Amino acid sequence: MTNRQKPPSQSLRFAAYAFAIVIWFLVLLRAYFVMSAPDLSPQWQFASIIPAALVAMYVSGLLHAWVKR
Amino acid sequence: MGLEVPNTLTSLDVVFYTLTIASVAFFSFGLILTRQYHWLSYSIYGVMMIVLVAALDGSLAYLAGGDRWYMTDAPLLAGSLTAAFGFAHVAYRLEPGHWLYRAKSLNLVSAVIMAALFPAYALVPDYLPSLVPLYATLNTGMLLMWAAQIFPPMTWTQLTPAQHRFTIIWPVFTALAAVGTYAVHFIGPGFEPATLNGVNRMLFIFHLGHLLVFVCISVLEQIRARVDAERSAAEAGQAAAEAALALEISERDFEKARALASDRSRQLANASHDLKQPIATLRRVVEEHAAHDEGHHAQRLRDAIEYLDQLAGTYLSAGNEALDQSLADGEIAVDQSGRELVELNLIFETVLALFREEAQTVGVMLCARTTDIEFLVHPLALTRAVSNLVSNALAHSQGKKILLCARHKKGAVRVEIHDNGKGMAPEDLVQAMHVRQRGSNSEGSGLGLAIVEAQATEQGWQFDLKSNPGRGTSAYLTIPA
Repeated sequence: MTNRQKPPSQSLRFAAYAFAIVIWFLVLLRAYFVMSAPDLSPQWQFASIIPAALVAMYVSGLLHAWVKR
Repeated sequence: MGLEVPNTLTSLDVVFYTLTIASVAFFSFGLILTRQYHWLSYSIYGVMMIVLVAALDGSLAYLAGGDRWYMTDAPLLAGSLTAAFGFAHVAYRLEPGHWLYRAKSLNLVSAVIMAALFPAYALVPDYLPSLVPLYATLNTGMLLMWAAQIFPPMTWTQLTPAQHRFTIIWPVFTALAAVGTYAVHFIGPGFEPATLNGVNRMLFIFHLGHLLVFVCISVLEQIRARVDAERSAAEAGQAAAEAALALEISERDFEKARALASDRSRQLANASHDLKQPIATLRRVVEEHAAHDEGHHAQRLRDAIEYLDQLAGTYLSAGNEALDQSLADGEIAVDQSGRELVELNLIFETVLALFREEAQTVGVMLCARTTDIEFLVHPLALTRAVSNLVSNALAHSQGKKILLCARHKKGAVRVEIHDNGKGMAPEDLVQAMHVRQRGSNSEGSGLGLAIVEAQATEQGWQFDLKSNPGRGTSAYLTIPA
């Protein structure tokens, strides 16, 4: 039933990895802007970056698992 | 998060905690009673979630006597531990074979990160003077973990597709409700803390309810599968016993049939023997009269006597051994009503042999379509019935062709005798079936069809006659196989 799924096609795999790369790119972009903002205290910088990185890690990990099914 | 320790618990608080604690306790007792211990991790998860909610809304601080540690640090500690346990629980409950099983290590890594949040706060308080980064990470991780809780049910193979769909739809609605609530809260005018607390509790009930309901479904499915397996094992045993009994009965029947057949064969041999003497006398009388005859009738009588003699001799000498041999080989099965396993072809050939000369004399082509049908029937009765029908067709149809054939029809065997003669009118057809009646333009005695009818009734067959005036008549004997 659920464990007999065929692997995703070449284009879907490509799209999945591209999506993961875009997510990480956005996280890095956000980190760059947050770090270069002069009026933001360190805790707000951390508060902005770490959750985003956590989400990016989890989502890209799921995508990888789905591609490799 | 209000930082003031509440003075008292409202009745709504009491109802909420009573309901949730009772649900988890009831669920746990159910699991213990059905010995499904491996699901108890959901009970632990439920308890941790209840403690976390109590820490967040101040109920825990109230119960702890107003200590401020329960308002500041306890929520972070409870959240960190709950999120870590939740991720580890997801990793532990994913079942192999599903693609999500590959996300096991991802969930374990997330669990480690969540578990590291509280020590991080404890170890570097000076570098992180505010709880904001930790809470932001914790809340994000907590939302991810709640979302991840729907993954294990998606991998449970014992759920039906409908249950699988529901497994996904329920948390999606919960998530939409959460997103909608917080969107209104942050973008719109914002809710009162008490309202938000109530919404949080509703979402929590939905989340925990979803998990507990699906664990219950899964447990019930497993129990049902076990009961089904036990029942089918019992049924298999019973079927084996019944098969053994049926074998025993059929062996006994076979012995009975063998005795019956051997009796009949002996009777046949005796009868043949008894016929020998009258045949010899008849032959002598015919030879005496042959001298005064023109020769034609004498020759026909001689042939007939020769045929009778041969028949008697055949039954007398070969009958016993052939029958015994057949029985020994299991080729002939005789049941109590005198039915035997008969090749229909043999009966057709017998009838053809009986009527071949007569057919040639009147210029009718008598033939049979070869068939491989073999079935249980009273052979003598069938031979008589077919002979009667062929004799009838020869005498009255005035056709050029008579065909014997047979086919399987709805679990029965249908023996068919077709002729292409003059046929019968519908009223003649009805009359022909009655004793001593005959068709208006027929010269026969009218007995043939009635005899066949009586025989069919006696044997449990169905006898039908269909006729098309000018095109021929078909007789059908439908014999249950």
